[in-house]
Amino acid sequence: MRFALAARNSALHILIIAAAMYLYYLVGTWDFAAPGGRLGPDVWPKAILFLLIGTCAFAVVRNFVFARRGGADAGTLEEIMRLTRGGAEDATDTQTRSMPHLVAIGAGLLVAYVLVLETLGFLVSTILLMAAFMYVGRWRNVPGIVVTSLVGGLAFFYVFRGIVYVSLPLGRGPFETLSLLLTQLLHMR
Amino acid sequence: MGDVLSHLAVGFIAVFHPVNLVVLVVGLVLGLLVAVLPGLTLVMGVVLVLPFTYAFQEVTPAIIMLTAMYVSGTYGGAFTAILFRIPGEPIDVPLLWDGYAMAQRGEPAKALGWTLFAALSGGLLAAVVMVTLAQPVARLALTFSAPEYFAIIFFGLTSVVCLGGGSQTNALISLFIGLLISTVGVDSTYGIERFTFGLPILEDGIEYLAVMVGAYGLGEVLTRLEQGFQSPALQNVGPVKTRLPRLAEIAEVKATFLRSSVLGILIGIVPGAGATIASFVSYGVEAQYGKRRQDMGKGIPEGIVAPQAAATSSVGGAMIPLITMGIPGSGATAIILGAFLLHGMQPGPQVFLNSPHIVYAIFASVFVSLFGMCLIGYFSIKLLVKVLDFKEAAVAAFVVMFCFIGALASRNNVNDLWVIVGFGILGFAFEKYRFPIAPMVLGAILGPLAESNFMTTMISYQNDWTTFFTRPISGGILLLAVIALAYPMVRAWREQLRERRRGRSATSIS
Repeated sequence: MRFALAARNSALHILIIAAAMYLYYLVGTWDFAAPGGRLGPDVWPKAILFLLIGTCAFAVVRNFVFARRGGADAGTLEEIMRLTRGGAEDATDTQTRSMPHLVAIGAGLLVAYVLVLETLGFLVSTILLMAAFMYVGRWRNVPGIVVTSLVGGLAFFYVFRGIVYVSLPLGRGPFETLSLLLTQLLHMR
Repeated sequence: MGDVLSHLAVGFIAVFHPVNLVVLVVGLVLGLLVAVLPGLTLVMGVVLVLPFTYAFQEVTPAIIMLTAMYVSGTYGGAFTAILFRIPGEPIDVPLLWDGYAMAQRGEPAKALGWTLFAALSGGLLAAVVMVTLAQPVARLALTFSAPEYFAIIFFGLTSVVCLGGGSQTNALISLFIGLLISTVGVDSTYGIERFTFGLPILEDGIEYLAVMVGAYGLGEVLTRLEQGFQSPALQNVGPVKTRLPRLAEIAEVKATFLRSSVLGILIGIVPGAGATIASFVSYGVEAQYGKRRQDMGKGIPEGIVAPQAAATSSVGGAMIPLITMGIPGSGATAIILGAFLLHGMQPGPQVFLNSPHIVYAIFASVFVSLFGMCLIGYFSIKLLVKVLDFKEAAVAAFVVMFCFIGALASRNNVNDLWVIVGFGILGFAFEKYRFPIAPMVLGAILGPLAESNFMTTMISYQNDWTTFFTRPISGGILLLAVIALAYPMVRAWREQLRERRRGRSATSIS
């Protein structure tokens, strides 16, 4: 039981060790010529990777050897709270439900937005993303979502393209035509 | 001193220029709003406003806007903490322990009055210290070489590891990941590609603003999304007003006020530690050493004055290393540094010689922001807390868009969006697995500075690493850093020993 818990707590650290070792190997393959006696560009990354591997290894050892001593590694804020509040419950201790599927959909929406941005253009992609994000965020007022996403998308487009002069993607084909039409309608440059 | 005062007077004139005054008020209102909304943190709010500052031709209004937001962001969350027991910011958690208790006793106006007094007076004291110390520190910084700069950065990095919340081991891992991120790109000395994996998007390196926008902005949105954007129910608190404390009442808490303000300034100066740490540490000190420590948590003024005065005074402290050495003292000052760099200006000792008008306009804006923040807070609390009625899903959708525009605006490159989406997911994973984000962000910000100062020292002193320890200033700072790093470990070890002894004695008794 204790071993399983330690193994679960250490999984991420072991993964980081593996990644860091691969990066350490990569650093060794860099081709450069440092003039006599000078340190090369590999020294700093190697030092960081060495420390990263060392810290993760320490965490793994600690998880397996001292797993039952929970809380010994608490940070300063927790220590202050323990000293001043005696572990009393407060508004920040409230239990929250975890809904990982929402995160998966939300992250998927962010990726999809970047994928379609240059094709659909900033305006259409933004309106779609905002509407979808609000719906995924469990707001079920459809007229509210439609109005907020339309107003939001137009406002972002007007402020950042027309006033702040950020070069926002206009899209391709009909979407570009739509963006340009709107640019003229709103008297934007 | 006369020189400083005359520069400051010119600074005040600049702040009252219509454009600067308008952006200052906008910054104050935005700071209060992000502090009131539980889903938006102060640092995240300042990150989101950054793209708007690209529109300014000059650096001064951009910095004034962000500074005003930073100042008011340390105060706005007090309303929701005291009235509804909802800390808008982590800064406000200690504030609700006594503030909410006082409000529950039927004195919410008094609790809000104490907050206003603490924020204004603590902030003003810190602003005076900032103006007084900035020039001498800048003069001292002019004498610093690479070893001293490296030592200061090292101290900043260790303090963010030691003073943050959560596991110190995970904080160290987060820091090393941040330092590693800062090495990505083409090396400026040898021209070789480091960790680019053949991707052109990584050749220019990863901008720390992308790391911040992704990890703080998108990461936080995903974390809140996992909880389904559950907003706490608001209680009906009746008419909302602020009643300022009387002079006699203020005199009773003067020791708390002074202690907390000085602590706030000192914590602000330490690179890496900001308003949240200041607020918690100050409350902790008051609870352990204050005159009425046994009543802390029962709704006494000391419990409100201590965290609020420290949080707001940390702003003045954090501005000192930023302006004088170009080293950010907190997350918000890191973004302000980003705004400086985006407008082609590098803060540091030289700015006092080259652009004193900009420096003192920023200093003057801190004073004006403090008064403005209190005036807006005093007259529009009711309106401010109304933002809690907004649907969090809608607020989150806007936050996501601000993050994307922030990334687009900095280089006009759609590929940068991949970077912030990546860091958004990483930021969520960090939150989920209890790895603090702040060390990673600070590592990404200070990494290039740390590396260049380390390499310069090695070249200048023929690879003699003992130079860092033999030079008095760098040696002293590094010693402090080592103590800061070792102290929590020693504390944990002693705690374990004590527990073991307690366990043994309990066994022998039974």
